[in-house]
Amino acid sequence: MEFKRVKIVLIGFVLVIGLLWAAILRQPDEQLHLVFCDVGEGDAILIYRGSIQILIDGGPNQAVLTCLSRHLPFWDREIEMMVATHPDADHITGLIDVIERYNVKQFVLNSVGKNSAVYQAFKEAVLAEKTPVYFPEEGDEISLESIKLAVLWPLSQEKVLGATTIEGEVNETSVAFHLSYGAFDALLPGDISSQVESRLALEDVEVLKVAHHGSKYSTSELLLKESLPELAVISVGKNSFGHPTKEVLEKLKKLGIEIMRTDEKGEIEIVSDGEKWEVR
Amino acid sequence: MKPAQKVLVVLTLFSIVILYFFRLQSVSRLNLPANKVITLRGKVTEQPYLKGSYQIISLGSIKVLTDRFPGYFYGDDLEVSGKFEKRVINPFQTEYWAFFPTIRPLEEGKKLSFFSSFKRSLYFFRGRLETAFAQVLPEPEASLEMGILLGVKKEIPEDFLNNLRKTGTLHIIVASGYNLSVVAGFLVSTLVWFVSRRKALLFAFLGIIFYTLLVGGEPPVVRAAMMATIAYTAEFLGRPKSGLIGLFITALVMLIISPLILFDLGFQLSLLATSGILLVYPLLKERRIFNWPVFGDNLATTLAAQIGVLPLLLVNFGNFSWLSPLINALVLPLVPLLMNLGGVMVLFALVSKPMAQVIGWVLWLPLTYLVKLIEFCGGLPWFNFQIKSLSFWWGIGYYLVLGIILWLAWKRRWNLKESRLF
Repeated sequence: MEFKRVKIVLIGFVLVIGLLWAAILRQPDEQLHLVFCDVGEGDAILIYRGSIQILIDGGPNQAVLTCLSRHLPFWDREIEMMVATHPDADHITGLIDVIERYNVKQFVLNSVGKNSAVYQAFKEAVLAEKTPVYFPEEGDEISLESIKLAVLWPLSQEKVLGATTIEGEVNETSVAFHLSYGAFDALLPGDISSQVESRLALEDVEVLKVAHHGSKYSTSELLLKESLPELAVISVGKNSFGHPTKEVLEKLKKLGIEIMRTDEKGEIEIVSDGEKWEVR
Repeated sequence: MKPAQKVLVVLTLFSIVILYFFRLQSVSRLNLPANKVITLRGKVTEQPYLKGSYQIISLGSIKVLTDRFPGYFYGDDLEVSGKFEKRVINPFQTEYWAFFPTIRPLEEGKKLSFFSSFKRSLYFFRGRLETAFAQVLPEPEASLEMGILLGVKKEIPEDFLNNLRKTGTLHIIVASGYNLSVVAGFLVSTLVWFVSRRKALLFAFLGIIFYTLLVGGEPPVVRAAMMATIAYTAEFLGRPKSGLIGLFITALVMLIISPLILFDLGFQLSLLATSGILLVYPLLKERRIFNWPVFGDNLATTLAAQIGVLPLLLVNFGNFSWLSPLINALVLPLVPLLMNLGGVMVLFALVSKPMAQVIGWVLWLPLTYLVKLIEFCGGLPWFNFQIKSLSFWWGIGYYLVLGIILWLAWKRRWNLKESRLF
């Protein structure tokens, strides 16, 4: 009995010391991290700095959970802001899993609904949370500490989740953002097409998330010439649509823009201190 | 043994084999026409699980692959319309698969039997426990803990599952005898504070049955629970216990009740691993290296189990990690800690979430150690030994040779106490 007690105390001691060390080693740095999670054919973008995390879309499966676990310290079960750009399954499925597991402080959502079982489950999960919901419109600027998200699209929104349900194409309603952190900028256009792109107020950015996984109906030459990205990230996986398309890849190559794909590189992490930036 | 006894043993074995084949023949077999849309109604017979973005539902021998949402549950009454594809598993067992059929839940289905509705509520309860882990632990730590404590593997990330397979540690997420012994040990050592030892044993026994049902009653854990029951009864009646005979009777009863279990990989692995531990482990323990504190015992256990299941692993998975006993020796000592802490955490989670969170942090550390170790070793290319395909006959030859070696090694020992065998 005496031996057993010593053993328990010893194990407890080792656990506590180990935990303290782990906590010290996992202290977040003070840089902006822009992470394109490897979720297959879909989008899941994690933006974080310090203890602030913004998740834009969640991909088609649960892979986003592993991505979050890799970047969040183990004690952090809070996501400051969750964004759903539009109600397609390859953008919202993983969000349902995140809502179930993490404490979301603010929803920023597209109010357009879709007649699908996934959307139904997503809507139920959001409404069950009693977390404030915001429906962004063009011209809005959302800032969390030094991270700024300027809303470029849509022009206006209904203020009730799932107020209008669209059959079929919902990509055009996608929420599009211009992310800035100091002098570092990135364009996150969701799944919008070239037609919408031509109506956006674009500025020079360093990084572009290629819209709609490299579909040929998005990423016009106009967009590339106005936003002048140095790096184009394509969030894509095995699919039957031919994403990313030859057309888009060629356009990017012609303009000398570096291309990185999640199906080739896995997760892509960009780190910036507000002036310089690099891919990790 | 006297000649008369020998004849009796042979006759008994013979009639058991006859009885088994009789049972196997009586298994009902479904026959569905191919390439025609058919509508079937049935109950979900296993808790559906996820595969990537899809959900796999079992209605007896009918399997359905469909979208993840809406999620279905054990015991749900469904109407499935679609084309069914036949998959022959062996001459006695066929499955029918439907891919993305139309599924309609039936509101007024037949009422569930008492046992099924009990099982359904157990699964609801297990679902709550799973949520508790998912809410305090990151991935893949959360699903690893769910696997270790509850035998749930439906949500384990694919990469991590592969690493478990590659390192030969997949068994830690399968509920089996080891889990039962930890649960029983935990219950007995807690309960003796409140009640007499005899009563504590009885409660622990009930606890084991509850746990077996909670984790879904798959072959390995049922096997262990039955063996525990036999051992317990033997002790209660004051008879000496023999693990081998217990295993033999258990396997027999399971096979007679549900003959198709013979083709279940979990059952095969469990049976052969346990035989390995019962027969090889005592021989290994005679060597000094296997008597090192903490690791020696686990090393001997895993090595013994691995010797028992080697051909099975090679035939079914096509790979075998030759350092697996070593990594198991590093992993296994943590399993009781993870189960006990996890059990305590789950109890707190039902009452207060912040308390559960604090225990969750303590749990996180050893879990992360396991995850890192398994990911590291899974990533080493030389760790794994890949083979293309192995003929069935190699396996037969292996067990023949192993049988002869074991027979020779045990002959001398058994001679001393032969009367106890039969």
